[in-house]
Amino acid sequence: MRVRGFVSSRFRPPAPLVEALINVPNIGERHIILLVDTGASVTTLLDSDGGRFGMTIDYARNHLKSAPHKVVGIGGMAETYIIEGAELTLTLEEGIEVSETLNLHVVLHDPRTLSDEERELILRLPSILGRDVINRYSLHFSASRGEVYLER
Amino acid sequence: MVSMDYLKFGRAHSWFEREHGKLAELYDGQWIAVEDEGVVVERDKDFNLLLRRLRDRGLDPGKLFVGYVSREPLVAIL
Repeated sequence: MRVRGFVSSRFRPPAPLVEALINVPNIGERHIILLVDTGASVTTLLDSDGGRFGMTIDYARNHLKSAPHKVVGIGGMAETYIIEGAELTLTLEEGIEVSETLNLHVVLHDPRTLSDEERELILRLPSILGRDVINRYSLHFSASRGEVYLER
Repeated sequence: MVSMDYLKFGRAHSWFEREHGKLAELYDGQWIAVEDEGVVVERDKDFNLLLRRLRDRGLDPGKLFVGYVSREPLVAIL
C-alpha cells in the first residue's frame, strides 16, 4: 500500500510533502501539509499550522503539556509541547485511509519576542513528518522524477 | 471514506503547487486561503489578519489550504 506525496518547487531545492488529516484531542480534525523530513526525530506542528488550528502560544501555555525533553533544531530552541494520542490519517492511492497514532509535538515561538522579518520567515516553515512516522514505512523520493511516496 | 472537505483541501493544495508561478504574479508576498481548485477566498500580507477574517466569515482555517505565495523559493534548514 502506498501514500503518494508531492514534490514542491516552492522550496529550494524542491522538497517532499504529504497531505494528511490530523485529529487532535480537544481540537478535532484538521487538514495539514507536512514536509517529509528524515532528519527530524518526531512529527511536529509548527507556528503557521498552530495558528490555523487555533493554538496560539498563550493557548499552548495554558492548555498543552510541555514536552518532557528539550527539543533542539538549527536556529535554537522554541517552546515545545506534546499532545499525546493524536491521530494522523494518510490516504492511500486507492482512496483508503490509514491512521497512525502518535505523540504530536507542537513547537511555537512567541511572536512578541520576534522581529517582523523573523516572524514572517518562521510562519513560512511547514509542519514536519518525522521519523516517528516515516520509520513505519519505506520512503521513496526522487526529486528529478517528481516522485515521493510512503509504502509498506 | 475521504470527506468532501478533505477532497477539496487536496485539490486546493495540488492547484497551489501546480500554479504557484502564476499565483506569484498575482499574490507575491501574500498569504492566500484556497477553498478548492482555483478558489481563493481570502488574501493578506498578514497571516494573523487572514486567519481572523476567515473566522469572521465562519470559515475554518484548519480545513482550508493556507499558503504563502512568493517568487522566491524558501530555503530552510530543518
